[in-house]
Amino acid sequence: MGGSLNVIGYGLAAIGPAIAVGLVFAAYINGVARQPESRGMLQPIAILGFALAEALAILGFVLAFINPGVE
Amino acid sequence: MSLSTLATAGGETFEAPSPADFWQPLIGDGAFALTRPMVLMALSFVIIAAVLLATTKRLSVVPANKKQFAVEALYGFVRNGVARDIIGSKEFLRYVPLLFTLFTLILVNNLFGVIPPIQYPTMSRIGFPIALTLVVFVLYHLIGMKRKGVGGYFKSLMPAGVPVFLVPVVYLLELFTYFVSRPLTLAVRLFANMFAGHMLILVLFLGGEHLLLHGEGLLPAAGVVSYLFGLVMSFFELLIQVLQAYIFVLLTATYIAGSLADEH
Amino acid sequence: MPEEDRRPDEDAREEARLNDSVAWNAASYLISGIVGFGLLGLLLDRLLDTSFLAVVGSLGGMALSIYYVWFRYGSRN
Repeated sequence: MGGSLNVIGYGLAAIGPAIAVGLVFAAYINGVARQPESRGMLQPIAILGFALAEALAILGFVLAFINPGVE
Repeated sequence: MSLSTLATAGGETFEAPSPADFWQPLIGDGAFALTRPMVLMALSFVIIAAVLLATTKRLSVVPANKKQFAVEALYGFVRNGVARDIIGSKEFLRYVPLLFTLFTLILVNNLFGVIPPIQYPTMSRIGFPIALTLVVFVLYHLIGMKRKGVGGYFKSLMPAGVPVFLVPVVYLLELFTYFVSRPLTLAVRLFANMFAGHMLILVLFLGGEHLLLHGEGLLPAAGVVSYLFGLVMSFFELLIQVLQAYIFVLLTATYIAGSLADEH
Repeated sequence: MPEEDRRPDEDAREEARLNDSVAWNAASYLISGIVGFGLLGLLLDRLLDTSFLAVVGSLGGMALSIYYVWFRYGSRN
């Protein structure tokens, strides 16, 4: 099994956004469960929070592929 | 010592499963070999056709037996839960056959991953998700072009209200999303989930077997733990397999709904 | 089609179900922004013999896609 440290780095980097996305939707579900009529107000905020966290994960994914040229 | 060879006792080394283990030609070799997933895909077609024909042969308005009830529940889930809710009650009926076919095909092929005599998820070879995605990809573009005309379709990709100086880059973003990242994520999500899940189960069971048979001291106990964890992950994998079939169909319905919508 | 099985809360449920699927589309846009513009930058890097455009494209695409997700799904109300 070959591999590179980049992949391990990406695995570590994905932990943060994973927790963040989990927290965002946990809070969203909590809010909607308490007050179902607040769904329309909470959803854009939840999606925005999700987008910000997910962007970091995808950025990490791109950076994992960048080879600095050092063998 | 590399990561993959875990030396235990007596010079026996453990060969970790690799992506090459998924290449299993039955007859022939090379590009035109008849492989195990091909046979499984054909088998799934036979199974689905047999089950659906057998359970719907003598239909009654009130389901007479449990089998008819189960198939009706599955169909109702795709028809009402996915197609009608997402595409809308006006024109969803045309797309129900496609969505139901996709759902049952992906579901049965995914479940092959944990059903004992088969134990090979067909979708862990990327060719199969790509083929399914191509159907969806062509379909939602064709629907959009038929509905709005070719020029109108490309115009409709751009929502109103974007600041003028951002229009070119946003249009580039939309084009890339519609033509590259949507089909790419659709295919890769299904493939990666099936591939990684099956790989994980393989590592746990093969590693557990190795620890049990060739381990020294406390290592056989670790092998037992590995087996137990593999069992837990098998049930988790069952959940993932159903979920991925659902997500594929859900996203297909979303894309069709997006192509049918008047404003973007 | 016959609408005999249509419940009164159907419209609200339809709307909610449709809204729930936007998270998937948001992820698609983010991938397009970061990977797509990053690849574009990489291509320009190769053409112009520079080395900073891939990073600029990737980060710029990230900013653009986050703005666009906010524009599409965040600013509706």
